[in-house]
Parts: sequence; structure tokens; C-alpha cells
Amino acid sequence: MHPFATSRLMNSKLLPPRIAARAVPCHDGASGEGELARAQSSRIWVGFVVTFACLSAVASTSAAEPVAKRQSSTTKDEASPLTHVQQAWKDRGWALLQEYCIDCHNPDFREAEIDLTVLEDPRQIHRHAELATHAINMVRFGAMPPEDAMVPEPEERRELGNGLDDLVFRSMCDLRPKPGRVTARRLNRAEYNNAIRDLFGIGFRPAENFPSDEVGAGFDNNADVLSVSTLLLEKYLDAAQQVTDRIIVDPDTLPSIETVFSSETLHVLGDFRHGRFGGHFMEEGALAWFEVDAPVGGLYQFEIRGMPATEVKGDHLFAMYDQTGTLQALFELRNRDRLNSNDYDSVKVRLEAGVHRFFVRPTGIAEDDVDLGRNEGPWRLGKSVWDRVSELNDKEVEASRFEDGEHIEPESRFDTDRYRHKVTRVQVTGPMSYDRDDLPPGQRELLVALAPRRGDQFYKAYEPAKRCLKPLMRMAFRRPVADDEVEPYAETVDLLTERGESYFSAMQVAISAVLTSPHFLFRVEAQDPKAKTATRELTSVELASRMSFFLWSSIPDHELLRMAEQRKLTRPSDRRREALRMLRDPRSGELGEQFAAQWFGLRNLEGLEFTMDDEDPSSVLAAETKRLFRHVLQNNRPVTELISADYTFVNEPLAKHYQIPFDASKADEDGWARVSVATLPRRGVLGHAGVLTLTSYPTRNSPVQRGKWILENILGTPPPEAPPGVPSLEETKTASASATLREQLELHREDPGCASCHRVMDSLGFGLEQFDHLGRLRAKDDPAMADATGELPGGRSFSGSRELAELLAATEARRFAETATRRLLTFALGRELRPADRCFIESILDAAEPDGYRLRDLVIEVIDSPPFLMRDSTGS
Amino acid sequence: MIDSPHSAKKHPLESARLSRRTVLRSGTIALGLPLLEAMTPASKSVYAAATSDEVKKSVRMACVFVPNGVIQDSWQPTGQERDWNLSKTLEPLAGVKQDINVIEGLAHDNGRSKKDGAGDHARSCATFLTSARPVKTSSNIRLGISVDQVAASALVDQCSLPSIELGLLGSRNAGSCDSGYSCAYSSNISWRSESQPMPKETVPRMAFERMFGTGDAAQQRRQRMLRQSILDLVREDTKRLLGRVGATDQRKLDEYFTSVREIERRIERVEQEDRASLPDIDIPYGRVEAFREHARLMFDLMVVGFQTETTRVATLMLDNAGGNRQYKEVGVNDAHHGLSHHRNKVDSVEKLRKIDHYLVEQFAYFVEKLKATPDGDGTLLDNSMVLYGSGLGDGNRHTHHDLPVILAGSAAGQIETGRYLRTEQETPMANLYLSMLDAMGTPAESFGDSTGPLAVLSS
Repeated sequence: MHPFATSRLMNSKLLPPRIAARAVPCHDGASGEGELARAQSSRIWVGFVVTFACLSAVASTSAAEPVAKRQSSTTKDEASPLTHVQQAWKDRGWALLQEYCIDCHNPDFREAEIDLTVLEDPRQIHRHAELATHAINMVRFGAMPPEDAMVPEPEERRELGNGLDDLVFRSMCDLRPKPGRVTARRLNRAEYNNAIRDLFGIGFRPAENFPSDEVGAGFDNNADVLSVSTLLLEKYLDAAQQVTDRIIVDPDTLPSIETVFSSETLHVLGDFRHGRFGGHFMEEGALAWFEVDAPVGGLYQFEIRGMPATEVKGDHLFAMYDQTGTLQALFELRNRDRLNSNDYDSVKVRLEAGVHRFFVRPTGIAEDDVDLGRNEGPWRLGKSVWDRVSELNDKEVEASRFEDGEHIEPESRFDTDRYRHKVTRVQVTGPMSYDRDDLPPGQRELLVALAPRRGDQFYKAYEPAKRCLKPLMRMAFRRPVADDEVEPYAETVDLLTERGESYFSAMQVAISAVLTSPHFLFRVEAQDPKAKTATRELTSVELASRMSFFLWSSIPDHELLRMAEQRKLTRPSDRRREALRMLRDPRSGELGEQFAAQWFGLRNLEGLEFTMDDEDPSSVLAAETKRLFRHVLQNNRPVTELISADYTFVNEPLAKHYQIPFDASKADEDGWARVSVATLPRRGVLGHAGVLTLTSYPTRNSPVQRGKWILENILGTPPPEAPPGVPSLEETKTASASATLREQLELHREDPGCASCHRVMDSLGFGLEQFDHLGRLRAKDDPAMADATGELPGGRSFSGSRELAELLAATEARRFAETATRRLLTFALGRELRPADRCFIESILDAAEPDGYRLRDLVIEVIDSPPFLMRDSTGS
Repeated sequence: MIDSPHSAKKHPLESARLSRRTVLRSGTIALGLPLLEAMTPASKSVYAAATSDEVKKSVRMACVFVPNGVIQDSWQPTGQERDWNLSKTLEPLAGVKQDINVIEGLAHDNGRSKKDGAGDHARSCATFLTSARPVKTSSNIRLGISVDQVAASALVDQCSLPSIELGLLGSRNAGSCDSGYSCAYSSNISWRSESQPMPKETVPRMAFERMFGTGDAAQQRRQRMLRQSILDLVREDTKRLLGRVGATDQRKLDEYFTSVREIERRIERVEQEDRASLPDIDIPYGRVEAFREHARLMFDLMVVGFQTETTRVATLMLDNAGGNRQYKEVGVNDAHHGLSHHRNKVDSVEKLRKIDHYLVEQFAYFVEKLKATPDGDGTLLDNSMVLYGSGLGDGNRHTHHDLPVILAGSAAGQIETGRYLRTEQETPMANLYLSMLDAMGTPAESFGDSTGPLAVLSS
């Protein structure tokens, strides 16, 4: 099998196989055998040289002529004289294109359905920017013209590439900023999970069960490819229900008590008589007592029915003490008539779960006669202790307990002057639905208002529902919500409660609808259909979402939304301060989890079949790279430190894997520690076992894939895909059974279909040959160690991965910074970059260059760039 | 207190059967469900082909309770056993006069105060179907099994639902409602055991689900209803949003909208299939506030339950004991209980007559509906025994004798109807229950304070 065909990195779109396949036959008739042979021998290094030559060319152009200045040029005028760049194209560039490309790519032949004659007029080049960019990449990489055609000299190749590139760059950046279209996009799985976490403070991750998100432009947040299927919508509905089941619990489904203590269940310590119509008539000094078993901590209502002495008027105090004699409640009962009619009063008391004994004392004291507001004295709730109760011994109390089945004979005639305090019953109900310890933690904050109820029927649910839903919808929809948006939701709650649903389940339905609403699931930037211009600046509130989904892969928090609503995010200084705050927040770890992981292809690590103690090797290996990324970001280190760092992060299993010592005392709470690798060949991500493993086959490493990975993710120039029909390494005739991989590859490269690309890839990949397919350092006597050498153009030779990494960091800094910036912008916008974006990228790089392309600076610059701040609704 | 044949030491097989039932009944509903579900097809088939002998014999029993007694002089018919005239209050029953018996002279001695003091309303309700004396307490309730539950427990294997207990007002089983009696006594007429009142279903929809949904089906129906509510909101949100976005965004949202519609259509389809498998009866969701509509829905449910033989035993409390409903729809703004202590004031008595008449009118609706429903060779009414009455005779004086009692239906020809039956005063109501249990095919040797079957009933 061809290495490319199985490559896990195969996502290049530069050259579809169809194009490569048909490129050669075009010249079949035109080129003779001799010519072909000559071309092959002289062309081996062409691609490589040109690639690197042009990298530095771009860098120097940009440095010499800042983008800002170029962007300020006036709108193009058809009648105005040609600029020198346009003139240069007309004089020289076009001639080269004609000479080497137009033979096949003309209106008549249209090889690979490409007609390059449209690039002739430099004034019209902006109309064909995509085509021109494609051509530039093919020419620079050396993939075109094909090796068996007439090929340009390296100098000509560079001239053609740069001339066209310059022309395109100018034509795009001379115009007003074109921020590029961002489609309404749905939340991906990570964003959905994070949004649920941030909305409700729960760690439940329902999106784990969603179908995988489609990937476009290297990331799974690409608006144009993310789609919604009926299956996914069903998952959304299920997830919403699972979430609301976790955040709201109907207290009626939880244990509660409604216990009545009267007659034989209301004990009396002291002398009393039981009345004919119920009720204990107690002597002065007697105490009624009962034991209540609270199923759960919470607020309980104590209702007491009784009556003070017959001759007194006004409210009288009935005090309730707990077992320690501490005053827990004061009831005020009044003698209403002379017919022994009960009065009642109720008080709420907080109880912990468990059995509690309470004593009720009819004090005989009129409420008017005491000052209840005093900070001292016997009537301070929860404080005052009454000796009479605190000094009771348990035996004495138990002796007064009515036995089960005991019957108290009611009496109709007794001395009501002596037995003058009446306690008929105590009812304990609770816990209250709004204050009990077994509710989900966020429920009280979420349900700030409850609907009133009669029995099990809730009513007037509209207003309380509205009060609860409005703040939630603001957070979920990431913007202020109008009353008329909340109202249908509140009406639904009202309707459902009328249908007999509890307020709690009705609120679950409303919140489920919030979580299924397109306002939650989609990031939509509204567009006025009557707007005159398609391009506009985003509002402060819209920017909040762009920032939070970029930096946190989640919804804005309260602080960000508050800033947004005060229109602060359109002010550069405030926006910058806010972005820095967000980067300090732990949620910015998602940049590592989502962005860096996808940039470096770490998600391809899944399903590794070796073991690392008890840990999943895929996540351990990926974690190392994410940690380095986070470190460089948090400390605003130059982005090149990602490839040159002489330190790394390991946990114990990884340290073992690397065969380096691990000092557990220096590890953080997750068991990871920063370690120096200065004495080892490992430098930056190119020395990370994750990167080295994901570019290998299960049983052997692949210099080709490693080289390709560097080209793609470090240098940002993905090689074109292999043409079909090219034999794989295994099928290439082998020199001998003992040939090294390098020797085999040399043979493989003799095939003209492979040579130009492999020359570039293999040379880079061999630099990492010191590491085996699992990223372990090979033994010194391993024959493969000798293969770990190479040369970059301009005599920049290197030996081993350490020198390769340091050389790349030192000499290709801008190129790497550009790759980082392109990836960041792609991720931040959720769309594929277009030629016009080149202008903004150059501008970002110029701004970050003086400080050495620090990673956090790049992130901030991305946020400050026109495509991030603006919206363009033109385009396809 | 009671002596059901099934608890007597009779045949070993009998008691074995009972013990299994006891297990079933003491288990949770969920435990019983799979079995009940398995039985559904059998009862459905009866619904489809209602001609076999089996069906003729399957008698249904319903008991309807009204509180606060009646104005007796307007209740009592005139004439002789087979040659009699309906009273003013009973006029609404004219259309079914030949299908009912009005029984006079029955009493609940256990409803009387004796040494328990006040609480006649609680006792009138507690005794109504149990003929047992309630222990005066607000906490450790003790009464006796009710006649409907004796029948239901004997028939437990024969219907998907042994019995259904309905009411228009919820039960309160804690706290005390009448002079120291637990609220359980004044809000339940059906008692499964001496300490276990059967809570009433007051929401028609819930009763419907209990009768016709296996637990799962009901749950799924509710799920669909809730999901539809979500989709309604989501659809409106999407529509609004579609007007505010550009063409490309619209395409993305269309994808989503299409999925919303697709799921809605799916729910509609299931809903239609589900409806097709259920009796053709339209029961609204949630509570029904209007008394007449509420009562009639409950009667409709009982008819459908009987017709499909989903259950053969049903009870309905039109109000709880001492009920204070205001029957404004017949021009009575006073509370029923308060009014019942009329002290012979003319306008109060007149208002009570209106209420009595109005309540009988609702009952007549039920009887007529049963009569209009074919069952076997006859009508559902023919195969039923429907009791209507109050636990108090004279509400003003709280009397527990001469109770107002109507028994409609001939219990599949076992009871001659169209008669005005006057029994000796103080005949225990329990005697009627003994006879009814006999007619149900679930005979008991004695029940409550019974002294033997009700002689006047047998023709």
C-alpha cells in the first residue's frame, strides 16, 4: 500500500488525485524519452529548494512593506496606470506562466478543467484569487508542471510563484476589508457539553452520545460542514431531558412528612386531662412532647393547635424547645372564646435529617408582656436555653411516653382552672419544597420563583415561570432576550400546569425547549435583509459569543455578557482586557483541548494498542502536547517554543516511556511535572511521543509521514496528494532484505511519480529517525540512528532531531507563526480561510513580529482582526 | 369486623389463591403491571365479541357517594312496591324508572356517635361502604374493608384493573378533618383493608391512563405530550429566526427545521396509532374545574371501563363528607355543608332540594348512559349494580338511618328493578351489601354489621 493511501494525515485539498492523474498525458506526445530522463535527473531537489526559497521571499516582502500601508491604498480604478507589481506580472510573470503552464491549461484543452489564461489581466486577478492561489501552491511545491514536461529552472519557478503571489496579495488587500462569510453554525459536541456545564454547573456531558461532528478545514467547528439530522435533533431532545432531569427535581417525588401529633402520639410530661373533643389540658409546668423523624435536612413547618388559659386575653406564647433545651420556635395562640375553641399558629424551623425530640411549653405569658426583639433573655430563637428541658433526664421523659396501643380516656368534667393550657395537636410538614438539602445544587438559583399551589395543582405559573426563564434564556441565547421571546415559554409552563403537570416538570419542559431552540443550538449573527451593505461590524454582544467560543469553546459567562451588553467589546482596550481575563480563566484550557489537539492531529491518537500503566496511552500522549501548548500560551512565550522547547511535561507513565527520572514531589495535582530535556534529542512537539506515534504505522515509523506532518503543521505547506497508481514502499523493488528504511526510500524515489514530493518530505522526516514508532529514543547501536541526518536548502545541514527542531525554530519562525495564525483564525471563525484572508494574516504577523511572535499575542491579534470583528454576508 | 369468604378457612385452594392475591396487592403497582398488561388482550377480546355467556354473568358494580344527606320529604317516592311515583328530587330518573330500585329504611348504626362524640360527617363517609366503625383518631386510622374492595379482591384475576376509585375532590389522608377524625375517614369510601384507604383519582385524564394505559403507554403518552410542547416552542423560535438571517444561514436553519417537522410528524403518527387502540372517548388533560363536566367525564370513564371490562368495580365520590361546594350553576351560592344545617328554614331547604335534584340529575346521566350501551344480549345497565346514596339521612340532624339509597341495574337479571322498596327501619345497610356481593358472584357470609341478605331485594 502506498504510504499516502493509509496516511492518517491525508486531508490536503491542494491537488485532487483527478488533476494529478490527467496532468501527465497532456505532454505524452510532446516530450521525448531523452527529455524525460534529463528532467528527472536535474529535478530531484527542485521542489525542496523552491519551497524554502519562497518561504523566505514572502517573509522579506512583508517585512519591507507593512500590510497596514498596503491596505490603505485607494480602491482600484480600471483607468488608473498599472502598479509596478501589475506591470511586473505583465512584463515577466505572465510570460513564464504562458511558457510552462498554458500548453495544457488553456480554454481549449482545459487540462484538469483548469484554464489559466484568465490570469493574464493583472487588473482582473482578484476575480480569480482562488485559482491563482492554487497555481502558486502547485508551482512552489514543484508538483506542477509534471516532471516529464518542460519544467522551469528553480529561479524561474521562484519568480513565477512570487510574482503571482504578490499580484494576488495586492489585488485582495488593496480593497476594503473583506471579512469573509461566516455561516450560522450549530454548537459542536464540545461546545454543547461546555455550555451545559456553564449554564447549570453540572459535569454531565450528554453530547458524548451525539454523532461525531463533521470536520472541515481541519477543525470540527466548521460552520459549512456541521449539519443537523433528525437523529441529532432527537439526541438534542433526549439530552435536554436528561439535563433538566438532573437540574430540577420535583420535591414531591422526594421523601417528605406530614406528621400529626395528637392524642396518644402527643406525649405529656406532667399532669393533664384529655378532653372529650380531643386535646390535652395541661397543668402549669407540664410539657407536651413528640418526636419527629426528618427524612432529609430542610425547612419544616410546625403548626400547633391549642389555647392558652381561659381567663387571659390576647396572644400568649407557646415555646418549643429541642432536646438540648434550646428555644426553637415561639407560637402565639389566643383564647378566642369560652368554648375551648383552638387557635393555631405555625412557624418554620430548619431540621437536619434524623429524629428530633421537641417540647412544647405553654408559658402562660402574654406576648405583650415580653420584648421578643431583645438580644438576651429567654426568648432568643436558636440561642436561649431553658434549664427545665436541658436538665431533664431521659428516663423521666420516656416514662411519660404513651405506649403504642394505649388509649387515653377522654374526660368531660375536670377542673379547667387547674388544667388550663390546652395543646390539641402539632403537625409537622416538610421539608418545604424550596428549601431542602436533597434538591439539585443549582435548583434554588434556577427556580427563583415558584408557582402557588392548591393541593397538587399549581396555578398562576405564568409570572414565576417568566421570572425564572428570562435570566436563563439570556445566558443560553447569549444575548438579552425580549419579553415576547420569553412569553411563549412561560405560557407553555402555565398551560402544562393547567393540564395537571407540576410546576417543576413544566419548567423542565420549558428549559428543555430552551436547550433545543435554534437560539441555543446555533450561533446566528442576524442580518437585516434590507441592509444596503453586506459587510458590517459585529455588535458588542455578537463579539462576546465569538470570543467565548474561540477561547473557551463555550458560552459567554456573566461577566463577559455584562461587558457585552454595556457595548464595551467594540472598544479595543476593553475587548483586549476581557480577552486577557478569559485567557487567564481555566476555561481557556479548551484552546489546548479543542484547538491545539486538532491542529497537531492529536485526535488521531485514539485506539493505540500499547499500555501505559493503567492510563490510556492516547490521552497521556496527547496531554503532553496540550500542556506544552497551554504553557506557551499562558506565559505568552514565542510560538516557536512549541518546536524548540528544551523542556516538556510528563506524568509518571510517560516518564517511564521516555526512560527519564520522574520526581513525583514536583508533580501538580493531576500528576504532571515540567521536566528539562536539554540533554536529550527531544525538542518541542517534534520530540513528543504523541506526534511521533501518530505519524507512524503500528509496527514501524514512517519518515514520509513525519515529513508530511512537518510540512503541513509546522510549515503550513501540505504536500499534494499522491497520484493514484504510485506503488507503495512495500511494492517498490527492494535492494536487499537487510536494506535500511532510508535505502528503501531512496529506491522508491527513483520513480519519477514520487520523486519531487518525497525529496522534501523524506528529508524532514529522517531528521526524526532517532525515535521509534512509539516515540521512544532508539538505542545508540540501532542502525537507524545513522539515518537521522539531512539538509535544509542553503547548506543548512542538520544531524538529529534536536538540530532539525532548532534550525526550524530559528530560520522558519515567520513561516511557523503564519501556520499558527492561519490555524487560529480558521478555528476562531469556524470557516475555511480564503485568499483574501492572507491580508489579515500578514497584518497579524507584522504586529506580532517585534516581540518574536508570542502565542498569546497572536491569539489577541486574531481577535482584533477584521474577519473576527466584522461580518460579511456576501458569497456563496 | 368483616368476614369475607376468602379469608375464611374453606378450601385449601381458595386460601392459596388468596395468598397470591395478597402478595400482588401488597406489591407496588409496578410489580403488578406486567401481569396486568398480559391480561389486556383478554379483556379487549370481550370488548370485541360481547356475546358469550361469560359476559352475561360478569356483573359490574358502581357506588356513588354524595355528602350531607338529603331533604327526605322531597326524596321519598310515593306509592307501593311496583306501583309508585318518583319524587320531585328523583324526577331526573324518569327515563330509567323501570331500571332502578329506590330503597328506604336502611341504616348505618356504626355511623352514630355512641361514646365517640362529634364527627358525624366523618363517620357517615367512613361507614358508607364499610359498615364498620372508624376509630376516632387523627393518626392511627382503623376502619374496615369496603364492599367494593371485597368484590374487587375476589375478582382480581379477572380484570386488568381490579377496581377504580374516583372523586371530584382530592383525598387528604393526613390531618384531621372532622372533630378529631383523620381526614382519611371523610375523604375515602373505598378501603382495601382496615387501615388502607384507596386514594381517589380526581383528574379524569389520570383515571383514563390508569384504566387504559399500561404504565408504559401512559408514560409514553405523557412523554409525547411534553415533547410536542417543546417542539411547538422550538418551531416558533425557528420561524422567527428564519426571517432575520441571510440566505446561507437560512439553508442551515432549514435543515434543522426539517428535522423538527420530521419528529413532529413521527409523534403525530404514533399518536394516531395509539388513539386507534383506545376506546373512542375524548378525555382532556389536566383538571376539569366545572362540576357538571367533571362529574360526567368521570361517569363516562366508568361506562367505558365497564364496557371494555377493564374493570368491574368502581366508586365515585361526588364530594367529600361535609363537602362545601357551592352549586352556583343551579343558583345556590351557599356552601353545601353549611346549608345542610338548614334548621328547617324554608329558603335553605329549597336550595338543598335544588342541590339534591342536581346531583340526582348527574347520576341519571350515568344510568342512562349505561342503558344506552349494549353489552351482551342486553345493555350495560342490565349487567350492572349501581348504588347511589349518602351516609346521612337528614343532614340537618346528622341522622344515620333512613338513608337515601338507589340501586340501579338488575345485576344480569338477578335483581328485579322498577320497584320502591321499603324495608323495616334500622335494617343494616350491610345487608344490602351482602346481597350485592352475592349478585357479584363474590358472596360473603357476613359483612360489617350485617344480619343477613336484604330480604326485600329478592323478588
